[in-house]
Amino acid sequence: MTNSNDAVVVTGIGATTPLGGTAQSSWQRLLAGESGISQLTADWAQDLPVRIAGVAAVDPTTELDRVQARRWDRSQQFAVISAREAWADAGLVDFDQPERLAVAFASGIGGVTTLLSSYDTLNTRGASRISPLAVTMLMPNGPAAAVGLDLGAQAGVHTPVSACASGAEAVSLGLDLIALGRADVVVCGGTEASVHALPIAGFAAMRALSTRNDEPQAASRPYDKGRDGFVLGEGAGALVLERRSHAIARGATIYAEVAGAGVTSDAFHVAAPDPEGLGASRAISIALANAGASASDVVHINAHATSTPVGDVAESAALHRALGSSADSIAVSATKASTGHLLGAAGAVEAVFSVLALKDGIAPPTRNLDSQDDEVHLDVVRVEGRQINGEGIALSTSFGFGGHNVALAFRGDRG
Amino acid sequence: MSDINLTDSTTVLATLTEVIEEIAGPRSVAITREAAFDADLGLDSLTMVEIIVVAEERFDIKIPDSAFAEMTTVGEAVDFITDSVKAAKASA
Repeated sequence: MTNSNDAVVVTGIGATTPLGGTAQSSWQRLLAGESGISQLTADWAQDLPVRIAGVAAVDPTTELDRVQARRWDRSQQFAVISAREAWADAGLVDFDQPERLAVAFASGIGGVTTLLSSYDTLNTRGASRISPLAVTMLMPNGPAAAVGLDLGAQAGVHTPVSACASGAEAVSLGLDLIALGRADVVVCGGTEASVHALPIAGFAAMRALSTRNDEPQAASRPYDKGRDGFVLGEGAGALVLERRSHAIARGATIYAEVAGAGVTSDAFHVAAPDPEGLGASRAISIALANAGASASDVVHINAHATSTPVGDVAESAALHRALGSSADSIAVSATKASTGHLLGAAGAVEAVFSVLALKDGIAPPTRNLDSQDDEVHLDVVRVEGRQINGEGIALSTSFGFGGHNVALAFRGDRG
Repeated sequence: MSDINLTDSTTVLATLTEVIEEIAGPRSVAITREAAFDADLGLDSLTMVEIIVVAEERFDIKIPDSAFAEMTTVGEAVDFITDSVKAAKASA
């Protein structure tokens, strides 16, 4: 499939994250090793066991028309902002074949803040005060629908929901939609806006969150001995996919090839990862086989690595199982150290980072890795970015509660 | 919530105009008594429900679905709201 005209390529990227309001600004701050995590100072957070999060660097309502913003949940606002950026970046603003344009936009939780604020309204002010837009704002497919409406997509609008693997699964679905001939262009991605007391309380109850409340920028520390859980983040990432022949015909700039995807399920436990990483490992092997690549072709891994004690070690085992001794020397980056964990948006944002890593030939640094866990046998990039061969394969892994595993394989463009 | 002390229809029209533009954004045609919500102002049914929900709060009245269903122009809504505000004041 290498360099084939049938290959699916990325021609546009967009992101709004705790690091920046665009893909490029987020990437630059990531390369600089900065953190997007801060203390939550609002009253609603003060009685929570966890009072830190990665709040979006740019308030989405400042990027949108006021009336439009009012009609969208925050998760929809992030989705549309990142999709518009990717769409403009791909140079598709004049695209005139809406019946060949599809959307695959994921969310882990959907419009949860609208759901909860509407319930508050119901209890305090009665049914007549519920907004007629409440349903379209809280439904999980709301972000995909908003993106589809905004771009005029008529070849189907889809919403994969697989917790923290959702964003990556959307990219995998985008690849399938083009491979099956169901669309010529797919805008795929993921979004999440759940920095709210209830999701924080829920994740805290699972003991999944870091409680390093006094050191927010040091709290997300994947692979470090001192890690104590993930830090919740919010935002969205988006990618435009099309066949290489389609991209070349319209003179588009190609970032990278979406060379393969692997999707598996653990059938092990609803929240705990399989300690041997069997399902995760199979996803990685399938993605590589799908890409027609071998372990020795992999130059970079953007790992799921959320900074939980159990998950990071299980992923390390999965990478070794799938990649063998190659796993010892591949440049691994755990970008959640800077962004926090964007749940259903994470896989999409990390796909954007993986594509940029290939394009710029650099693996970004992993913050806060002071003392690597003895059980993690990986060559993790720390402090400063590391040069990589931009023509190799970059893997991005995502795993979600429910036992969902997704691995994406990107190949640097040689076209 | 209500700070509507006047019960004249001019004030009601001005306030309703504010609500419409707040919910739906500036309109390309003037919001007059004669303007039809759908044909002239381009307000879809969902937007109208939203406007009604906010108008009920702003004027501190109830606008039943049966009354709402019969309002096709801004003037009809203004008259209903003016009457409702007067009735509410009279019974207060």
